[in-house]
Amino acid sequence: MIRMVLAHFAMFRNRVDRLDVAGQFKIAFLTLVALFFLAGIYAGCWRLVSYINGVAVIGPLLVNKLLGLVFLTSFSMVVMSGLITSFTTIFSSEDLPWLIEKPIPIEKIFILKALATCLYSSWMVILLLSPLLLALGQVKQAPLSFYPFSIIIITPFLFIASSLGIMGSAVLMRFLPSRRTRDILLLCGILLVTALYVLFRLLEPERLVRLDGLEVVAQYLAYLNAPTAVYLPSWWVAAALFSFLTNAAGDTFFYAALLYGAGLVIFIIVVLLAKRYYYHGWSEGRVYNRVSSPARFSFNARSPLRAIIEKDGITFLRDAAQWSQLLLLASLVVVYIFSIYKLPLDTLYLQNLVAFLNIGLIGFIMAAVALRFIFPSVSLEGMGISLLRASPVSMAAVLGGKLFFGLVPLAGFGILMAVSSCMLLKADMYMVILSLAAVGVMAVGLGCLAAGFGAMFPVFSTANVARIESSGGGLFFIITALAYIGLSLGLWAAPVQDFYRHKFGAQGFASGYGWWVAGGLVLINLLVTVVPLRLGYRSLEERQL
Amino acid sequence: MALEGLTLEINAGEIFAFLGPNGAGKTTTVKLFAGLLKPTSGSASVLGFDVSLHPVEAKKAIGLLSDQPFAYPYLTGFEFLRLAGDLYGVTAAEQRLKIPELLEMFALTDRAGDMVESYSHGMKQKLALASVLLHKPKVLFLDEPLVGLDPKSARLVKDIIVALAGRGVTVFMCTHVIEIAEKLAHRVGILERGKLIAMESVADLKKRMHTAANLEDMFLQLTGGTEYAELLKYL
Repeated sequence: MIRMVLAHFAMFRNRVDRLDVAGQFKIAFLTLVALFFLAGIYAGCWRLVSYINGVAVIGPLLVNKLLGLVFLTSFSMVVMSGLITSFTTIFSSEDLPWLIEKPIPIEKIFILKALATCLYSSWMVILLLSPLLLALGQVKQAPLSFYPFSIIIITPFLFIASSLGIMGSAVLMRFLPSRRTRDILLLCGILLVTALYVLFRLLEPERLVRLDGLEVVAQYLAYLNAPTAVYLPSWWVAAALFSFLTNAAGDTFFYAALLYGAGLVIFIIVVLLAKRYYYHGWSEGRVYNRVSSPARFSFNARSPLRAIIEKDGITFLRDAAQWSQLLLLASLVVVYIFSIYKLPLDTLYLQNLVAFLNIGLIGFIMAAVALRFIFPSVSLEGMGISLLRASPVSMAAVLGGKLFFGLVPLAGFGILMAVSSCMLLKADMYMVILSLAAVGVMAVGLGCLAAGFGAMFPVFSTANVARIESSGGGLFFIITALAYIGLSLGLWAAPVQDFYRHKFGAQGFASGYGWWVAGGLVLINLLVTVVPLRLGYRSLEERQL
Repeated sequence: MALEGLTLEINAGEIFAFLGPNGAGKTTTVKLFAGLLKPTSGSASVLGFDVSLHPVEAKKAIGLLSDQPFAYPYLTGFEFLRLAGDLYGVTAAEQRLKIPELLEMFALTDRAGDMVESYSHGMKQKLALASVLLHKPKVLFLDEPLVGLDPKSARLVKDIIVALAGRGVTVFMCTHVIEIAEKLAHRVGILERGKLIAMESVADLKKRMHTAANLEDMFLQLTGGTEYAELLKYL
């Protein structure tokens, strides 16, 4: 098993050693962006923790509660991530047939893959928790030993969480090995996360820091004092950290022992499960249960473009991993609209200011949606791109098909959000029309940007959307998209400013540069539509396949 | 550089077998003709159309079966053939006639309504071959066409190759099955490390090498491969 781990290190080293200048630049750039991102999170966390900690009397209790909630959320995220990731790493990893035919005990292969799953399912949480813990240590003026202690205490916590996910998948694979069943389970998992997310938002957690939300102060204090899910490792890790910060050595040791003890027990259970169920689940999952359905031959006339769009539509609807994400998107819309509804907007000025800023927020959400659904569309062709390139169809039609398939829903989604939020904000008709125009134009710009960048920086080697969108090209897209949204918002601000000046009695155009603004909008929108599409098309036509 | 000074001219209606050790550049050559790779120098033409300058005209005439047969896993076999037909501009009326015929010919009718992800390697190979034949190409590029096929299907493919050549279709076939090349091909080309070291009929090659040996022995003599006798002692 150690040899396999070493082989993975060797693969990583070989890839790093063979990086060309462009690759080295990409890595350096991504590292820099990631560092900026982490620094931003650290600054936010520091501000939040120091603010909450400074609240008179209940500050430390609030921080304790916050940490408990953060660890509870992290715990559920890693459990779910472990469950979903393990289907890929433990049961359908490409090297499994090669490994299983070797004279290696099956549980050793399982452990190797389970450790990889732990890493894959928790790295994002580690990345996000690090700045928070650093900020906590700074605010609480913790000794230096707090930081290595955090690592020691969080390791079994994440291990337990991802192992629970792995246990879930091992049992599911044993009893429900077929791919279709896994699709249904994946859907159930996503429905659960979606429901929890919406429910959490509807509970209005902001009331936590608004004392007037609870009738009796004593009730509030009792709520703060109560541990968050005492039987879960998320509470143990929070309690261990707080005990360490308050120099309660006994409690620190107790919770640390609890975490390591539970980790060991779960490890033993996982290995026993693997011995019993792993091979069966893996081998059953490779057998296709043949249920032949009669072909319905229909021969309607189609242009190549329509054939490509229909193919993309069919693939999208039949791949549960793709369409199930629409549920998450729907929950995002519900939560967004609910948040707008709950905003305390007492004045006309505030209503219209929020209506204007709303354009930027919708733009940001549309950029995220474009990154998830349009940017990967060319990459998801995989080997199919050779088939399309070998055919007499122009790559412009291929790219156009991808754009059309993604753009129509993206624009519809943006406009729906704009209309509903403007209605809730009771904004002026002028603001409603301006919002619709701005969001509509931005949808086209972001759609073209995503399709073009997706074609310029395709990742044909994987069908994993998460890997495609987190590639260098994905990062480049999101940075460009954010710059575009910022610039657009700045330009759309001029007509809004003029409108309110007129409304409140001013004469003439205060900004006085209407044509410049219009010209600027035309220019940046031409830049984000024509240039990426053109470059993407050329990249597809000339790529050596 | 994968290929060096390669000059090939294949006649209409000819079956040309392209042989060579792994990594010699056979698939690269096919990709150059199919427009999937751009030559760093020189050119590739199909039916007089330079693939770089007139890609659409050249591609309309080509049928390409790649060494790794691909079909979209979430489409059914029938839907995949429909897509292939539409991409090559085959009319709906023609597809109505040809698709059921091809499915029947490759024994895929029963599974035409199933998603490709459930197909075996051989079935995918047959489906890919059916899709290649749908638009009646004038030039066929077949990269390892017999890999994964059962004996009956392999025989069918060989018969198809001969029949199409008889109708004037040019067949450019990369293969490691030397017996097939010897039996079917009008001429063979042998590629070694990107260089063409032989390009003639099997009979002419025998004459040139002053031997009565079969194509396999001549191939091994030309490309090396007899020197491993000492190494076999290890086994």
